[in-house]
Amino acid sequence: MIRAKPSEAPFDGFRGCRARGYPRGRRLTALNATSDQAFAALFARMGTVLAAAENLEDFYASSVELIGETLQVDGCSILLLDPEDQLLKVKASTSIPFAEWKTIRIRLGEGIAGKVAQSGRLLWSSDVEAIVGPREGAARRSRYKDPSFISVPVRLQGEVVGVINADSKRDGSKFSRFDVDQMEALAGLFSTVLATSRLLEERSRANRYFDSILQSIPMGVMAFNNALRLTQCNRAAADFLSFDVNLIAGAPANVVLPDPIRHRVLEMIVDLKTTGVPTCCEVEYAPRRGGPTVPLGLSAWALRDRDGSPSGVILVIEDLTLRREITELRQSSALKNHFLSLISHELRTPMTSIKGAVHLLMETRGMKSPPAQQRILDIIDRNVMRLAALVDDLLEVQLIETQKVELEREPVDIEGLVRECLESRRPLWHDKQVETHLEVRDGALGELRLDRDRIRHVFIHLIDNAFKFCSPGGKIEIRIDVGPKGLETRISNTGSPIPAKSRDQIFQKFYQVESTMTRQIGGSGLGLYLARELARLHGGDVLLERSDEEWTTFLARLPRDESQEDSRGAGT
Amino acid sequence: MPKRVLIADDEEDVKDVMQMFLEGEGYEVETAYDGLDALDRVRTFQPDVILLDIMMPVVDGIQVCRKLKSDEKTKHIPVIMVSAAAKREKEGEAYDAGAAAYVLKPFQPEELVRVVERCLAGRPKG
Repeated sequence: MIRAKPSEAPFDGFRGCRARGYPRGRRLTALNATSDQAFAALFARMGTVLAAAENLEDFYASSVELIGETLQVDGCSILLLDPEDQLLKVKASTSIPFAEWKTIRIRLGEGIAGKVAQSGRLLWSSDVEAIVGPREGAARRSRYKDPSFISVPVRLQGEVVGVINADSKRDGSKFSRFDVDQMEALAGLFSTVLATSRLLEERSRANRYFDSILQSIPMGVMAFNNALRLTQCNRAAADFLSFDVNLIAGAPANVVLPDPIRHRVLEMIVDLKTTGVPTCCEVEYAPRRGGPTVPLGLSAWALRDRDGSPSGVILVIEDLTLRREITELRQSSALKNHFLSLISHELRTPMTSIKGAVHLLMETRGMKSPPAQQRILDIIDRNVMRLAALVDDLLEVQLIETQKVELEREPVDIEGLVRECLESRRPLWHDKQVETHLEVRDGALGELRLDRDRIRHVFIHLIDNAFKFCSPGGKIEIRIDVGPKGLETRISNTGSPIPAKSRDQIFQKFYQVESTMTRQIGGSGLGLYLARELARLHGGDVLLERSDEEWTTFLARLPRDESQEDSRGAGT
Repeated sequence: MPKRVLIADDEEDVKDVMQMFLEGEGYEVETAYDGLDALDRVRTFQPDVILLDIMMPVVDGIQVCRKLKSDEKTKHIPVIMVSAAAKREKEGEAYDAGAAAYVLKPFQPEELVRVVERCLAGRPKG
């Protein structure tokens, strides 16, 4: 842009108002009443036209039409200076065909417009040749009825940014001074509106930019004012909560927010307003009725003015699916590491006994007494079996997880099976000097058709668990009963109760209650998991029924009716 | 007079074989079935060396070792940790608690005897 420097523009055709003795401040007052009314009407029309313009291009087009109409001229054009190359370019014209706009590039000082832009002063003349020379004058004469023109500079904050040209009165008359005044007034109005429009355009560009940021955030964002009416929201929010983003600006929060979420959000907002602390919660929500639910994290934040006073609430909605998956993966990875550490311990312990026992036999070369030798051989046998059982458990876990368990049902006498399991496990725990007791409430239990080997494992795991956690010198009681849902076997032991926080997790595989009370007791962490899964494959279940200072009781329930078989088992 | 060894391990069979071959080597051996029992027997048996399993009920081996090392009457007794927990998991913790040596299960019985001898001679690291 260039500064208007009058001293550098000594054109003989110069016809500025001031030069003609009309100081700007007095110009309007110098006009007659009719002129005043015309100006007022013009301003009003200009205001209407500009208000209707949706963008700057519209505004330019409306302006040339309005000026053309007002001055009754054949042509009106607006040329603005391109700040990049300092060339005047056509922005709107009533006489120049649109296709030619792009071809017109006027340097400062060149032609009428270039001279006006460079000097910053209007040009008004009917003696065209005196200003632009005979060639341009001839061209104008061939184009217009009359070659006279008014060309006024457009200023923004004192700098010339363009030129408005009016060419040739329609009736062939010369431009009057009133025309010049009108033209100057219109140019002034145009400048003012242009400044405002550019400001608005900039603001609107900034708004669009912020809106694009808001819309691109992968989280739902909703802003409510103090009256809890929606003032702003993005598409993600509309997607998460399944409402139409275009229909609800200004709608109250309790209308916009869907039913299951509404009261949670309103509670959060109340909390936020009373405590001033951002609040959050998690909800399961189905965006489509009857469709799958999505875990959503909602948080409410205070919205504040520049001066810090509360102006509303921001609600942020986040899809927690991915985050949950990551947490699950981390947990599963941690569980795997835990499993490896447990299994290595479980393998090393019997290997230690076997290695020690073999060493003893080799060292003494049969010199030990037969009972001593038998004791050593028993150690080897027991620990080899323990290793084999561990391998079996691991394979069984794999079968359960891949849903490849095939039950081989046969008639099983539960009382006999439980008694056999108890007797087989008791010697392994003789050190603890536990008193055991088996009671059958109903003598006529009959036989159930079960996979004998797998149900044996259910009881062995539960009995081992009872021995493991029984206090030394304590008691184990087993009761078999007929319940409403089938056969119920309760296995109870004395000893410390299972910590409340662990009760939900004890049936997870590889889980061991983390406390000095229990971890050292060893085990693969598979016992309760397998007991429950194997019972469930039969349509039964294993539950923790009681755990207090007195007793810890596990209930194994087995249905009498095969039809309740769990769908996961491909029973035969 | 034979040297006294206290073995604390909740695994019956492990405890039995360790007892058998240490007795075969001429030691006087007593056993404890958990950490609390071990602390009791240290007082009554007054061992010259203690073999501690780490993962034991009630009080684990690391805690037992810490207690022994913080007691004037027992801090001089060398403690050997004998554990099936991988060395990288527990070894540092064991030494921090004051253990003289860490033996990983399963072990060569001769190796255990060598570690016991070195500890009794006051040279746990050899």
